[in-house]
Amino acid sequence: MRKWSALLAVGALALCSLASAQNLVKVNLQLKWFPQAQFAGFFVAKERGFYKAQGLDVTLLPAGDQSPIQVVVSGAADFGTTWIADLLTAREKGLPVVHIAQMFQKSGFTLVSLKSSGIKDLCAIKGKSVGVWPSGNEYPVVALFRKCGLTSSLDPKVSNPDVTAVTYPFDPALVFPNRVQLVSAMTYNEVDQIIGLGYDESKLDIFPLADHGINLLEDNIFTTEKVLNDKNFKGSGMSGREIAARLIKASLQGWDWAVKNQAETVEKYVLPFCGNTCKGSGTRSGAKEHQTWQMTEVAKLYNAGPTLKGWAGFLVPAEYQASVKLLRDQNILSKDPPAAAVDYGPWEQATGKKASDYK
Amino acid sequence: MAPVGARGMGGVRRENPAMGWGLLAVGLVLLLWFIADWWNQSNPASPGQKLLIWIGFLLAALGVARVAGHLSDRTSNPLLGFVPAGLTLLLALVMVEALLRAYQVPAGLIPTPTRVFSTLWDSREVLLQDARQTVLLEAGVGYLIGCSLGVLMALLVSRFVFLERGLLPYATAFSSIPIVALAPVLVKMLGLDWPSKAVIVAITVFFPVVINTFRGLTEINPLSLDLMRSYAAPEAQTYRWLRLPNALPFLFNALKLGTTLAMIGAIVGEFFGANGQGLGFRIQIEAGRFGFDIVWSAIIVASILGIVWYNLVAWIERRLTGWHVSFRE
Repeated sequence: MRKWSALLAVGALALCSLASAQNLVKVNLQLKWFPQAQFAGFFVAKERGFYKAQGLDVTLLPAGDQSPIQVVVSGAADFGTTWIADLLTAREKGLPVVHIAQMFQKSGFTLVSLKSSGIKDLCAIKGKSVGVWPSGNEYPVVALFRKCGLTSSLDPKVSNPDVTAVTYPFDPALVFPNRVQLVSAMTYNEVDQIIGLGYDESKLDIFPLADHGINLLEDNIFTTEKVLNDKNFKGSGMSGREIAARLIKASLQGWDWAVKNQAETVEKYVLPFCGNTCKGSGTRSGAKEHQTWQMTEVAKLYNAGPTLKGWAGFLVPAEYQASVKLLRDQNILSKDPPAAAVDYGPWEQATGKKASDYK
Repeated sequence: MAPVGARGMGGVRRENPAMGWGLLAVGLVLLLWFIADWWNQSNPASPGQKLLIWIGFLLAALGVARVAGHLSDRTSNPLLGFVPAGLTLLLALVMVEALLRAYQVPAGLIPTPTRVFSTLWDSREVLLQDARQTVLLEAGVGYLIGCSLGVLMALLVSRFVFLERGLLPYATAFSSIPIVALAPVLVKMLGLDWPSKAVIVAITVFFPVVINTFRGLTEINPLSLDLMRSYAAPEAQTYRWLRLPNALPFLFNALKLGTTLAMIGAIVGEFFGANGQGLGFRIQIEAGRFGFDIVWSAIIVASILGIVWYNLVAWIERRLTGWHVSFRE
């Protein structure tokens, strides 16, 4: 008798898990970096159940120093976040990646130098060394070099470059200010780390690349044509486009919530999910302080442009064309990306708006 | 009748090697014709064309097999002996080119061989500069330092028993650790410039050299030692005439192994930070940008230099230890 009831219980349990597995579709989202406030909206969407409400069981995959595009193209993740420059260059190299939503509406990329180094003009840096991150994160700097007519060691065809690009494992303390005069820094992360090293803002020159005409859009959501064209995504009965639309809808909900409730977001949805990678440097090493700074800065990038008009997640066609033009002018792209590189469909389905209505 | 069997086959081949060359030519022409036809295409080939490619490959492969069978009977000329291997490589490259074009594999995943070779040519100056830093400075200097220190250490350890007991166990343990795992730590400690990679290389080659040289210095025929003793030879002479010559084959094994380890250490070391130069830097930055034509070019350069280096050490070995049993004809 007991045996039977035990069997029954196991059966019921199996049925239950089967049912819930059928209800929730497993989706992997590859983040561009380790967990931190840069991805606050996604964490909020997951932890506050926005994804679940859309029928998705989303796993947020942390990144190492490899390109999210590689992970998504290989199929290890279904969706990813990355920047426009490496997305479009990968597309030109024949990888079928598709941009489906634009989370940050402003570039947060800066180059930082010590005031004492005497760099006043970003173009007058012949003979200097610049710290860059590999894995497709170097394109904004490449665009700057080309715009200023400078050759760099990133170009495999130039044997005597004007500027030396130094690669390092992402922490600016490894190279700045001893090894390089200029170092890559995101407004929301490395700028605070450098300040923490004891160089306060009065000792630093911070050059946002956007101010120098290099306004390449950053964190977006992308996927592959294969996922979008899937009629039956992972056997869920839903198409890949439907899944993409649901993912975008819940992610935008998460971002809106995160930006409105920043302190709570950092406390409840960022800090519990990041270990060492959330810390700052030196005097600003506290994870909480650093992530609070990051949340504030990230909110500025999210709350800009179309987001202010209620069009969060929208890739403004003019902005996109500007990014493409810049990449083409600087010879980073050799031709215009195909129309299929951007797909407004999932975003339109998620928000109920029409891309062509944007003014 | 029976004994003829195996040789008989060879005999048939010897009669008409022209058949082999003919098959090879037909197969290659088929493949090359397709490649030329598909040079500027951006659509995948039709199933019929793909079948044609495979037929071409099959014919050419059969041809290579026949030619190889024919040539293997008269390998007195080393250049002639290399012909089958050369043909195999050529056929493999042509086939890869044809397949990549037929299936339109994006260059961001696998570039075609012609694309790799033209990139290799276009960026030869930069790649040579990269090689100078990676091979000459990082791997070369690190190798020399690591090997010299290794030999010195082995001499000391073989001479003083307290060193053997105190240090050798650690050397044995360390030689079985993947030292490359230390790379990120050392790059962080010593900076991004080439000396940090040279240190990685030195540490990597050091331990195998110590272990091997020590074995060579100590695994000695007791009769030879007795002979030295009966001559009342001082320690220095025992080393000069018995222990060192005995150690040379062991040492060279470690030195040859070390060339490979050194290349790995230098290239992997650059993955954790580099000063804008080096084959590892190039591979890492271009892999992140899906510039796999450059990545393959850098791999080709690294491979060629690695092979040259290995053979250089092997050549020195033959000069110095030609008496050894393994080289006797």
